Amino acid sequence: MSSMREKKFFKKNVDNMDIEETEMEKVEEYLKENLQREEVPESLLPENMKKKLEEASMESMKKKDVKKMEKTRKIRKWTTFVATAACFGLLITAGIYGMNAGKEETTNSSKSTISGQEFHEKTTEHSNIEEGNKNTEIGDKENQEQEKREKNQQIYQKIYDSMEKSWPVRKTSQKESGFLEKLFGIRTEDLAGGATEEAPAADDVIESGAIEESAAEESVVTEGAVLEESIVESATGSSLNSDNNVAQKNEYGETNVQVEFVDEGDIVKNDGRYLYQIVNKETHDFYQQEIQIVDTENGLKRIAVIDGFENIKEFYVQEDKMVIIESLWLDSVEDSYEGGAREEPVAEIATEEVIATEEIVAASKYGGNAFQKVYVYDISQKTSPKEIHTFTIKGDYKTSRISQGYLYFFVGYQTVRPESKDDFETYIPTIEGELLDADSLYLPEDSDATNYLMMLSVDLSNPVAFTDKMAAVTWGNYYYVSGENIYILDSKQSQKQDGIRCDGTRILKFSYEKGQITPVCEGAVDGTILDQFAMDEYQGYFRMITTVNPYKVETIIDDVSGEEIGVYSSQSMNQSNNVYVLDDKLQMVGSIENLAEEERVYSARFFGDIGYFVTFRQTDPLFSVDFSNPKDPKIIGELKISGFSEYLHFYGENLLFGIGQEADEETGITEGIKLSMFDISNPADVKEINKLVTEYDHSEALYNHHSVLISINKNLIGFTAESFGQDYIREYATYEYQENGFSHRFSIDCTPGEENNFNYYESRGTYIGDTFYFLLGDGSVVSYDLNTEEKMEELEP
Amino acid sequence: MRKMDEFMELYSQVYKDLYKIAYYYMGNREEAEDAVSEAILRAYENFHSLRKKESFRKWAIQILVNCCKGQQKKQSIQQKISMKKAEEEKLWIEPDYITALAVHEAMEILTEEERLIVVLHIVGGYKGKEISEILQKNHNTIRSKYKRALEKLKLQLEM
Repeated sequence: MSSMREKKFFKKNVDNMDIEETEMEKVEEYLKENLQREEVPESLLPENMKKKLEEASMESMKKKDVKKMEKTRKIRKWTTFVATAACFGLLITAGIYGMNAGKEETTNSSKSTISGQEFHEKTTEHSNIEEGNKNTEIGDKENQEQEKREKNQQIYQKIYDSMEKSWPVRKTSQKESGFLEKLFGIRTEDLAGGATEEAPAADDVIESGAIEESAAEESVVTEGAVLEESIVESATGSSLNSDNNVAQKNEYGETNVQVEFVDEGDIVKNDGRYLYQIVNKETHDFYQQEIQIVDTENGLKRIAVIDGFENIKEFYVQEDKMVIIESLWLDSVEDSYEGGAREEPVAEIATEEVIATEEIVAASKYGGNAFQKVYVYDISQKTSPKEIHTFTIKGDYKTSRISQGYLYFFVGYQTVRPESKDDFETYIPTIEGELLDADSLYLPEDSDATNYLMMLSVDLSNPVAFTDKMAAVTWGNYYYVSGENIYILDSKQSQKQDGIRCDGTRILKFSYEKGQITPVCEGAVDGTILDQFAMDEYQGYFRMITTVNPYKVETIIDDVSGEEIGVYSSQSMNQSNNVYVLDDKLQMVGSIENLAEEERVYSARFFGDIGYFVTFRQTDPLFSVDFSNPKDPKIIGELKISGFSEYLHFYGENLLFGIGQEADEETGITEGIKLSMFDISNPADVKEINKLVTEYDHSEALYNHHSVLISINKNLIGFTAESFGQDYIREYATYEYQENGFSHRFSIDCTPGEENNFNYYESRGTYIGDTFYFLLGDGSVVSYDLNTEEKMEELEP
Repeated sequence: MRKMDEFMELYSQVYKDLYKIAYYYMGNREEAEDAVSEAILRAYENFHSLRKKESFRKWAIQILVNCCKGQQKKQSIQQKISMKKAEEEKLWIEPDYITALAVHEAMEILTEEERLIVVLHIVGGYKGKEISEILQKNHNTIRSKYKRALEKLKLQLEM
């Protein structure tokens, strides 16, 4: 303790205090002597504490949940606000351009109002035209506003009524309204005015002038930028090999997507020359990620890095744009309360740093801490990606697609029971501070959901605002996006006869075009769906395969009182599977029921008129379904083999490739990852013409189609697999398929080991031309020559 | 490991005081140890949010106080009494155990807040204004509570 500290902190002011003070001093002295004795326990000694902290960091790194906002993130955001002030000049300049554009807009709208008013004039008689003009113009606007309000009120009411029966009963809230103010040191009312104005402005500024600064804040690292730019200029995607057909781009591996031309996000992207990947930095401090860009021309070279991320889910590369999707969580405000009593807490310093936008405040107040950030970057200059805009959306990330230049982003939005039904913000979603209007809300018939599935679209050529928003009241469990429509599926209960129930699936169909999302219709089927591959849209028809688990439900009646005690369900009935064909209005036109009793669907894939699906209990019937007559789908083939496929992929004209597990025919116990090739030249007579049972036990390929690399032209199949034998082995294995069967090409070891601190990194394989690239989540890239199968080069993390 | 080094340097300057504060607040070794551990863990997790490293001590104490309070709530009265008894028994081994026991018991009669204020001042060496910042309470409140605490102690210790 510093001897320089004063003993007393009272001011000596009054004489008669002296005696008291001397007494006080005595007590203080005494205490000082006797409160000093304690020896610090060993565990708190610095060396030991250090170990504890290191262990704890390792633990928290493994957890998926990220609770903090990183400093760089904050710096960027704060400097964005600073940039707002600093770039005011730029804003004005930009504003002048903007104003002209804006002028046109207002002229247009006033034009339409005038024409509306003219119309109005024609239909009504006015004596004083001048004033009449003005009045009706205002009147029209007011009417429009009024109509909008009424429409909104109507649908808000409907949604409230629908959710009301499903919300859990509200506990007496421990969160007083004053609580947030204390914690965040801000007033929520202030935010309503402030944040919505500031945030867009800041983003606009980034767009118009502050790009350099924000790029710097992102700490974009460019290596050899000057040299690279010249190369970039000269080579615009075409191969530099003079002997090749220069106009022809080299064939390259793209993300394995379900629907052609509808892109899906992944952890690695390949545009035919550059490789993009999420890199996980190995630090014990925070969960740190970057996106790196590697140029593959004339050897591997890392040319750009965007850092400062924590939890990227997936990203896209679309021509000259990159879209990065990150999931974050607010600090949980409940952590600081043990027992929730009303004693004032000592303020935790962390509160300063929480970015207080209204949405985020609302999030913590109303339940659900997750929010998403969608970053759109301009990567026309590969060596220096520039951030164009970042969207912040409350909710948890479901999935997304990019189709025809638009990003369609799906987010789950939770609600909680409001205190009063006028408390709209608790149960109507807000985007960027505003409640959704009636035309952005969709309430299906008899929905039991208290969540929304929000669909947001962004025009990638001008990604500064959402093009459209559509929030459907649904749990939103599965998604299928075709070239024109979005299908959202969630579970519900089906009532059958004789007190039998089963799980069912509700389908909501939305059409989309140029970012506009429009509700079309709803449908329902029995059973539950396996995954996105168990459904398919073809020529307007929607085909599905579901697994049905019916159970009996009895109403229990008390023998004495005669009253109904409740409902009792027994899961006793046979599992089976159904095929459904629904038309473009999701009305059922054809079905096949009770297939493969006692089994469930493991994989499915559709192609034109034929669909294939695999069920399994001990053996694998591979069913072929003929959909050429939608009203009368038929099982035309049933191949029984051992094991089962979990992922099916069409391999050329007459072949169907399956990756799954081999299994003992008697017991059904799995025996190893199996590759199968089926001859489907005659769908009614499918044959397994080749199979290879590997020594691997498990693979990401079984459940994540993005992790499977299949190129028929390069005769290349690749995926990461693990073996749980004596030693744990993890490898990226590649195979080829010839007439005589599958053969192993080469494997790349990626077993977590001492040299990389036993970290488990995600991996992907891809190719450009005749070179295969293996990308690991630590940022390393290895290239192999597909002709000689020799390792060519390695780029260290 | 830059963060770790910086943190540990700061920690080594304050850990003894942290423990003492925790000890007198909680009343026994085990709980004090737990409280400090938890507080340091939290501090480390949130280290990035501490802008001025000079404020580390005060900041760490704030977190510690939070942890102590949290821990207190978790316990039932029974647990508290038995822990108190256990701790007092330990004091018997002290050479001047009578004093030790007396002080210990005296501190027990204070309210948690009073105890905290006394410890922060006597052990932590903080002045009234600083204490009011740490505890987020009015300076005058702190002053009067401190006075009351000393009075109580004076009576208890028969001085």
